[in-house]
Amino acid sequence: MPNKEMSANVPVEGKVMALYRGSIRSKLLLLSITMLLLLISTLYAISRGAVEVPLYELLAILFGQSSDEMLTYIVYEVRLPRIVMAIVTGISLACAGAIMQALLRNPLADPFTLGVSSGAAFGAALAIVAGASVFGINLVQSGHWMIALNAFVFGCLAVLVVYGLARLKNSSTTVLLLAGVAIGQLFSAGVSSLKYFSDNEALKDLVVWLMGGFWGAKWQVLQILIPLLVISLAILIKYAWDLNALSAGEEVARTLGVKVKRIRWVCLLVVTLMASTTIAFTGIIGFIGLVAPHISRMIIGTDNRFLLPCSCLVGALLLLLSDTAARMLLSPVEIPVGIITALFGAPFFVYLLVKKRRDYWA
Amino acid sequence: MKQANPWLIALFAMQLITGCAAAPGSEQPSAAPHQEEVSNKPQEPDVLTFTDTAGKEITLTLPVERAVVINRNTAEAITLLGAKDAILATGDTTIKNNPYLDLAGKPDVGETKQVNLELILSLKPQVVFAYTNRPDQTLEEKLEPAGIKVVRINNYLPEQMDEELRLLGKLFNKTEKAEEFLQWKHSIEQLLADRVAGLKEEEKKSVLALSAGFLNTNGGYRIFPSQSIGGSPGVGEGYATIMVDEEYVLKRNPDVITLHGTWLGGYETEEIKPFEEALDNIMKSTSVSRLKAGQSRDIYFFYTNFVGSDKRYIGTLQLAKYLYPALFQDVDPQQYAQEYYEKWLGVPYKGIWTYSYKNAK
Repeated sequence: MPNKEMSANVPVEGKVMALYRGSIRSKLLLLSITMLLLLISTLYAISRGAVEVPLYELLAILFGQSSDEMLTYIVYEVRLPRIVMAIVTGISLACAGAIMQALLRNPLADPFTLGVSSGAAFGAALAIVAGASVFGINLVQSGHWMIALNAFVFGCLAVLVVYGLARLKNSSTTVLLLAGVAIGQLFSAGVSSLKYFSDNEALKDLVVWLMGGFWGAKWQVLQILIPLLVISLAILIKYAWDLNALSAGEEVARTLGVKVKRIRWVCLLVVTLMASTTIAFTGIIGFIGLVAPHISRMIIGTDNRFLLPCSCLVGALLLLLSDTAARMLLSPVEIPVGIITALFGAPFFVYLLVKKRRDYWA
Repeated sequence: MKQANPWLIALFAMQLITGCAAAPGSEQPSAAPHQEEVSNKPQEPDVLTFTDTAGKEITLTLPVERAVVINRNTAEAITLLGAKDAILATGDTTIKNNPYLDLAGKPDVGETKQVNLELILSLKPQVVFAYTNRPDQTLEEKLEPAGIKVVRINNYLPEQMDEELRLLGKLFNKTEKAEEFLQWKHSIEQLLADRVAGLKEEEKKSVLALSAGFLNTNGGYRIFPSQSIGGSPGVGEGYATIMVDEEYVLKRNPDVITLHGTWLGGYETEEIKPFEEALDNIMKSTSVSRLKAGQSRDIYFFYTNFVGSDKRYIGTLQLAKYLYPALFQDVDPQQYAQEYYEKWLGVPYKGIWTYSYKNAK
C-alpha cells in the first residue's frame, strides 16, 4: 500500500510542480509585458514635448550624431532627466506602498500612512514660507536643496516619532497606524498654519510644491536617488519570502521562522528613507503608492516576489504616463503631476475595484 | 496687492511690441509743481455718491476723516495725497511691506480674509478701504449695518489707478493734489511712450517675465502670460503666473529675462549681495544660462511694486533703459523713484528695487 500511495503522489506532485512552473512562467511573462509597456511609454515620452523633435533628429540625438546643440540639450538635460525622475519616483512610491500594505496588512496603507508626506510637506513649507532650514542653509544660493533637505528631515522625523510611539505599545500595528494618522494630522496643521500666515508669493510656491512635479529635474539629483533606490530595492526584494509568510499572520510567520519584528523595522525604515528622499525632490505625489500595488495584485497576485517588481513597474508606468500628460495636455502650460495622478487615477482605480471579480487583497 | 502684477509690463510691452505712436508731449520729465492745497474750502459737495471699483454704489459724507485702510496700496495713495492723518488703522501687510509710510504706530486690523471686525467697529471709522479681489462679503455684512461704508478699490492696476486716485482725492478733499500727482505720473509714462515710439520691429527685444523665487528655489518656470502674443506665455501682462514647460522657455529663447518678486529687495534692503547670489544660482542651476538672455546677461530683477504694482511707471522706464540704453541715455529712472519717495511721500529715498545682472559685472 505504501508503495501504491507513493506512486500515486508522484504524479500529483509533478502536476503541482507543473502548475507552479506554469504560474511562474505566466507571472514572468506579465512582468515582461509590463516592462515592455514601460519601455514603449518611455520612448513615447522622449519623443513628446513642448519642442517638436522629429524622429530622425531624436534618433540622431540619442546616438550622438546630432549637430543641433539646443535640441540635444533639450533631450539630454531637460526631457531625459525628467522622464528618469518620473520612473524612479514611481518605483519608489509604488514599492513603498506595496511594502507598507504587506507589513501593516492594511489595503489603505501607502508611503504617507506613517506621516512621511505630512512631515515632508511641513519641512518644505517651513523652508518656503519661513525661509528657515534646519541646517541654516542660505536660502538664496541653495533654495532647492534647502527645501529638499527640510522635506527629507521632517519626513523622517515624522516616521521616527510614529515608530517611537508604536514601540511604547509593544510595536502594535494598530498603534503604528493610528500614531501615523495623528502625527500626520499634526504636521498637516503645521502646514495649514504656515499657509495661513504666508504672503501670496510664498503661498503660491508652497501650493505648487505640495501638488508635486518634476520641473527642474536634474541628473545631479538622480545621482542621489538612483543608488539609494537600487540599494533599497535589493534589501526589500530579499525579504519577499518573509513578507509572503507574514501575509498569513504574525503567528504563522513566526512558526515558519520569520523574525517578524526585525523585518518590520528594517522594511519600514528602508521604505521611509526611499519615500522621503523622493518626495523631498518632487513634492507630494499621492495615489501612486496606494494604487500601483493594488493594480499589481490584480495583475500578478499576492506573491511578493512578483508583486514587488510588478508594483515598481506599474508605479513607474503610471507616473510616467501622468507626467507626460501633465506636460502635454495644455502644452506649454504644465499641470502639476499630483493633479493628474488624482484626477485620472482615482476614477480608474474605482473602475478597477468595481469590475474586479474577486478580492485580490485576501 | 501683494503679488507681482505684470500690468506694468503690459503697458510697456504693448508699447514695445505694437510700437504705438506716442502722443505729443514734453520729452523731459516735468516734475509738476507740488503745491499745497489752495484752501480748505471743500471743492466737492458734502455728500458724494460714487461707484467703487467693485461696481457698488456708495454714498459718503465728505471729507472722509476717519478711515481704516486694509489695502496697503490705498494707504500709500492716501499718504501721497497728504491725508495720512485720516488713517485710523491699517491692514493687509502694510506695516511689513510699506514701512516707509510710518503707519506702524496705528492698529493693524489684519488681512481681509482674517480681519479683526471688533477692532474696526471699536475705531468707529466712516469708511473701510479694501481690495476688490477678496470676494468675501463679510466686511459689508458686518460693518454696513453699523453705518461703516466699505469701499473696494485697488490702487495698483494700470487701468484703474488714475480714476481710483481721483476718487480718493474727492473723498479726502485733495482733488488738486491728486491731479498734480497724475500729471507727474503721466509725464513719465509719456516720456517712455515717446522714446520707444520710433523703435523698428527688428529692434524690439523679446522679453520673458518670470517669478524669481520659484525659479531660484524650484527650478520651475512660472511665467506671466502675454496678451500681446495672443495670451500665450511670453512677455507677461496677465495677473497671475502660469507654469510652463522648461522646453518652451528654451524654444522661445528670449533676448531678455525679467525676474519679479518681493523676496529680494525692498525699502530696508541695503546689500546687493543676495541679488548677485540669486542670479549666480539661477545661472548655475537652471537652463537660463543656455538662453540668449543668459549668455548676454540680460537678466533684470524688479521688486514687485516697481513693475507689477503701483510704481510701474517708474519700473517700466527702468526696464526700457535696460533694454534700449541708447534711447534713454539722459534719463535716470532712479531720480523719479527718489522724487516719488521724497517729494510725494515725504520720506527718505532708500532701498533696492531693481537689479541688473548685466551691469553688475
